[in-house]
Amino acid sequence: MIEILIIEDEKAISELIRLNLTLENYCCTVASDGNTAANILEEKNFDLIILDVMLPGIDGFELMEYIRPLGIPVIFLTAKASLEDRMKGLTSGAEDYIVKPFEIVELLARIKIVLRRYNKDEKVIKYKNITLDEENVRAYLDGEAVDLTLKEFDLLDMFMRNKNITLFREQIYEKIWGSEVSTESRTLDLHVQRLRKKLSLDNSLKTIFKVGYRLED
Amino acid sequence: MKFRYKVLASNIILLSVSIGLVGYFMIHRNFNLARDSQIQSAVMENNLLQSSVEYELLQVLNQDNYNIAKELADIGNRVADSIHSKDSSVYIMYADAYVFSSDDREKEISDSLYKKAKQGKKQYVIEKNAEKYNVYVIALDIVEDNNLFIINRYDISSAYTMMNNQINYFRVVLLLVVLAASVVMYFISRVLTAPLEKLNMVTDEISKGNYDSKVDIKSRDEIGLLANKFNDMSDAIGKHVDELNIMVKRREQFVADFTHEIKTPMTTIIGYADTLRSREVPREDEIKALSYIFSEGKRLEKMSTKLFELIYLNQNEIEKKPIQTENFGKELKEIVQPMLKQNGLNIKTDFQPAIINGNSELLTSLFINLIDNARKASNKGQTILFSGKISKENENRECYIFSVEDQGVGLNKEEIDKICDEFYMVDKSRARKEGGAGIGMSLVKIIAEKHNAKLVIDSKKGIGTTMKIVMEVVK
Repeated sequence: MIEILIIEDEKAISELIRLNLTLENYCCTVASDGNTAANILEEKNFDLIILDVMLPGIDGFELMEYIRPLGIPVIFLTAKASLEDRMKGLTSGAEDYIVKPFEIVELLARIKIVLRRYNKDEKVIKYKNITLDEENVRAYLDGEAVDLTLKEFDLLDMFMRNKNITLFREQIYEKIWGSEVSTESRTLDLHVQRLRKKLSLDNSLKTIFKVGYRLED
Repeated sequence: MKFRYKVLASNIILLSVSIGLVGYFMIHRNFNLARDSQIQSAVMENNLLQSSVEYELLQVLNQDNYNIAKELADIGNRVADSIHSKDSSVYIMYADAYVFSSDDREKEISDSLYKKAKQGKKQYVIEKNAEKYNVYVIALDIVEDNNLFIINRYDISSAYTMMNNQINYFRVVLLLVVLAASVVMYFISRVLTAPLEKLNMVTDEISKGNYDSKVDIKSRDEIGLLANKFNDMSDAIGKHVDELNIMVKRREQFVADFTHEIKTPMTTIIGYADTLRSREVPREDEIKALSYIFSEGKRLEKMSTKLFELIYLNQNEIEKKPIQTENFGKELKEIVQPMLKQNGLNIKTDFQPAIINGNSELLTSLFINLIDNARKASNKGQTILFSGKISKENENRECYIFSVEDQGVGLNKEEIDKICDEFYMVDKSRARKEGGAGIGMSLVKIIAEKHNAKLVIDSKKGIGTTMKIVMEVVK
């Protein structure tokens, strides 16, 4: 199981992150200030740290100096959006940088990217009888290869990585198509239909009317 | 053109013209004197000639047989010999013909001389020939009804030469004097205009934004005065700019703090709402999420109300009325008591009666904020003392001191310095739990300012805090 340390002094926000990461089956520990975090780090090893820059006492950048030798990837969390602060965050050795307020899907996506970079995330993900090999961009149904277009593969990957989460149409368009296709178009619906047919997902890939889609267990 | 060159040029011109005029008049006068004395000599010589010629002619006329023209030639010869100088010569004309000439210069004589000739009076002309100046003096006698002209030439070139020499000499002297004066004047004008240069340089510095630069001129003249005023001006500008900068910095800090402060509730509200809309969450977590959304929303509301009050107070004058302190204290106690009781705290009031001038609503808000802070700092079972007493500052002034005293956690120096800053919270996590926004003390400060009252904070870590509001008593 992947261990994540959340260092954030605002209880409301640390609770929010913990709630969402726990639902994603990550194991979370919360520290509300730098000293507590250092103490926890001494006793336990983590796969990823989410670190708020503005902490009482020792701030995030100072704590970063302590974390860097440990080789644990860090995602900075900050209320400051200035370029200068981003640069400082990234040059201090953080893997990524998230500005408050953030969307949960964005946070999860960044966590996954960082974990994958550190080879801590599974390259092969499974859902029922479907297996997805991200490295080789191959999908298998009951062990047999299924032909998918690149967009179909990306879409399936997004659904399988956000199991039980309602994905909103605009979120999907932004992630898979970027700005190429208007969110009003039927492209997404067409792709979802193809996926349902190719992988017999009729019952589990649910349409949430006028909102989006959700892959359910 | 630089000012110092202007001063220099005008001085040199003035100097040259005045020396030139003086020189001209001096030389002219010298020349006139020299020439007149030479003319005088020529006239005297002519007198001598005339009397000699007349004397000898008289003797000739006394003889019986004579030829005047021939005799005159002889006389001329003798007389001319007696003069014997190459600077002068003698001519005698009788009956419109020259009877004697000691040289052949008689041709140089212009007709005007003969016309000017008058009996008993000497007349003269000055003729210029071959760079030589000669004066010709004429005397007229009538001998046997014929005109007898006795003319002598006298060389007066030396007067002219002397003048020319003087002019040349004067030119050299003028040149040297003007040159020397120019050098001296140049340095003088440099010294005189140096303060102006300094002023110039400092002005440049100031326009570059360097308001600390000062003009260092110690003289007591107008320039020194100007420099002093200039320094005062740059001081004033510097001060204004500093004030503006501080104001801008404070604004920036305020905006930065404000955006940071609303980021937390925003993140919380957006994050939980996003979670709830996109996934199935256990009932327990759902309620937690909803209550976070609610409380953070409430906090945003509270923050905006207080910020509005702050901005309103900053921009508007307040209405003041006399307030009876004893009643004021009693009313306030009634307002805060329920809240304190809930937290297990006691309140004690002790007010000396007096009348102060103020806005009772704003003052109520001020003391509620102070008492609320005391409550946050206190632990269960402790007592908050809310009191007021008159203090005599001096003969004419009496002050009223309100104080809110707690036995709570206390503040250190850094916390005291920052406590009135917007959004500053001593114990952030505790303030958050209570829904605080970090604006209470900013409000206290501005309300105190609007009442010309002083806020005095006295605190020791672990012992407690006393916040005093000192204002004037109405007599």
